[in-house]
Amino acid sequence: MSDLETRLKRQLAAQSEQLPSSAFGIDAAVGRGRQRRRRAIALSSVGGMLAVAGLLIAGGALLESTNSRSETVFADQPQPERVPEPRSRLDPPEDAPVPQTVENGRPTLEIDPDSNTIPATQTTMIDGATTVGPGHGAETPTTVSSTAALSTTDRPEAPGAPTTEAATTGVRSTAAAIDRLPDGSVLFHSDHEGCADIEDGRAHADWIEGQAGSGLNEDGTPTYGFAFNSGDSTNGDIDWGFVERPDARSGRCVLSMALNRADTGDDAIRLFRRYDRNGSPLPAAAYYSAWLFLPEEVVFDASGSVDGRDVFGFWNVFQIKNDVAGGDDRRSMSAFSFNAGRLPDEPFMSLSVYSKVPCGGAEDCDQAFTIEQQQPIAIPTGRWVHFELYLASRSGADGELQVWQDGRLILDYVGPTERTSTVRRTWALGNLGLLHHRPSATVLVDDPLISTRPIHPELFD
Amino acid sequence: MVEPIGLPMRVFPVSTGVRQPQSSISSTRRAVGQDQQFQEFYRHEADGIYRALALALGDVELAQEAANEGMARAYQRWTKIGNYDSPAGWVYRVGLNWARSRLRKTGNEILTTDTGEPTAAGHQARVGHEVDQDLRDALAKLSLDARAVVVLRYLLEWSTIDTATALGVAQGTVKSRLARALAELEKMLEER
Repeated sequence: MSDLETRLKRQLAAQSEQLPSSAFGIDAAVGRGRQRRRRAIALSSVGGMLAVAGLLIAGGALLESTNSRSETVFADQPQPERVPEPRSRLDPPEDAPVPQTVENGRPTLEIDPDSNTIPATQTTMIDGATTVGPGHGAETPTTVSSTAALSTTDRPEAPGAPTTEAATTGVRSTAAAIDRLPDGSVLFHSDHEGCADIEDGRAHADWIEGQAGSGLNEDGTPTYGFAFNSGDSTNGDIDWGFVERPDARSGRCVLSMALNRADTGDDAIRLFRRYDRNGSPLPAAAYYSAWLFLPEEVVFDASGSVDGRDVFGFWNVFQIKNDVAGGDDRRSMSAFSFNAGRLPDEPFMSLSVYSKVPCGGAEDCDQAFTIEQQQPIAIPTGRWVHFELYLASRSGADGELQVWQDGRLILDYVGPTERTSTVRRTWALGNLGLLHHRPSATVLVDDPLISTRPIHPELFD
Repeated sequence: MVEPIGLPMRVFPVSTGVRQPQSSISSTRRAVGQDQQFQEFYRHEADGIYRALALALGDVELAQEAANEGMARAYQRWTKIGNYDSPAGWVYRVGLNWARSRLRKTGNEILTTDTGEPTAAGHQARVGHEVDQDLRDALAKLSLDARAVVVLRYLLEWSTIDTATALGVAQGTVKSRLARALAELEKMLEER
């Protein structure tokens, strides 16, 4: 052992001895672990009963014939195990304790069950309750709890009921967030002012800023950002553009995406961003932020049939995509799909993430999995909601994906996060789905921003 | 050219994974045994994990919470975690990842040289150890990854393989990080 190593050992021992004893004891760990275990087992039991009921109803034949390997990932596992899960999100049973107002000496905030919001008068640490789906398998499913230190003051007010002068005059904008972020940390942003119309070839300047050529994405040139729609906009199946809205989150204009057919899977609206403002591919690790306004709830069936093929219902509002190895600039594969909406038996809409990372470049993927909240947070309708992702795109077990809703950490995944071997990533805002109960679904987006630094919702006010 | 839109495929497997009922007696015995095992594990490992996290993170309160979080998760799934080769490594890793997440979100990734105000008891426990301020400052300037390796190897005296497990990296990575960390420390100390 070298002198330095000897010195290090002595130094570390000295510093260690200076540390106070931990404020936590075994009771704290066991109490917290036991609480989660009970909740998970209870949820698992209910989920299991539903699964059995589903088997009985379906006669088993259809279910056994599926080769599905969709799974729920336990986000805290160093080596995520993949256990098949039902997707249904369930209210915790009465004997499953929910986070209390004080946990380990640190106050947490309670959600108002009526409005599903945190009372704006409280400013403290909130329990971010990163939880991953109820499960049942050989092992007790994991409930992960992460805590995010966030201020809940100055929360964005619902459109139509502004309480601040800024809200009524449209002063709020991405400029406020940019001013508060370190120089050079903003990779892309748009306030959508100017109300351009991409469908007519006048893409919003922010989205295609600096790109070579005039095409959006059909001319084969590398594009900084572009639109890619499927379906037919001429007959009203899709309808979108940058439009003036009195309830814009900032300024006057927002990106509006209306999907008027969700019965075939052919209709989709997506707006992509692939490069930063300087023409460099988006980095492996970055924060992606956008404000979404969902005017109405979307309910979809779990499964059904379209044109003779078995399909599953969903509503996608944004995605992270990876380019396919081989360098075709326009060919990208979904790595993470961020889905909203709810199933008929669920109490409210909430966000879950569907990952195709295990599929590599294969389009016909049967190894996808879903990352869900165990105690889902509702996505409210009729007001602006802030979503933020942190993606550390890596092919190994050290990849990370975290999702915040209105500043609250709702999903936390550790594991591979790259679907293909290429380095380029694309962020997509979109509106597409299947098996919706109502044909139309609208997504409004404002103030999208990509940064190398965390983006709090409070930055925008 | 068709842009794949990432439709979910077969999201609802329900034919497997239903928990089988267990005998209540055997379940109870197993639970008692597992609790005892966990208590034993906690008694031996919790303090070391907390101290290692504190020195790596440079934040005592965060380390306390991180260690507690790791232990709670270990208790929750002790039937599995208890059979790992290095449950302590697993707990350390969960705690470190949890803390990283907190630091990232709060934008506080710059570590300070302060490991927290020592308590009176801490002062009394310093017998025989003098703090080497130069080395302490140099340690604080290392990256979190490098410092985590140094702390696990020289404070907890974990093997390379246990350190690799705890950090979720290859053994070769542990060795290279350690070598780089030592080189950086030497350089910083020489410049003083």
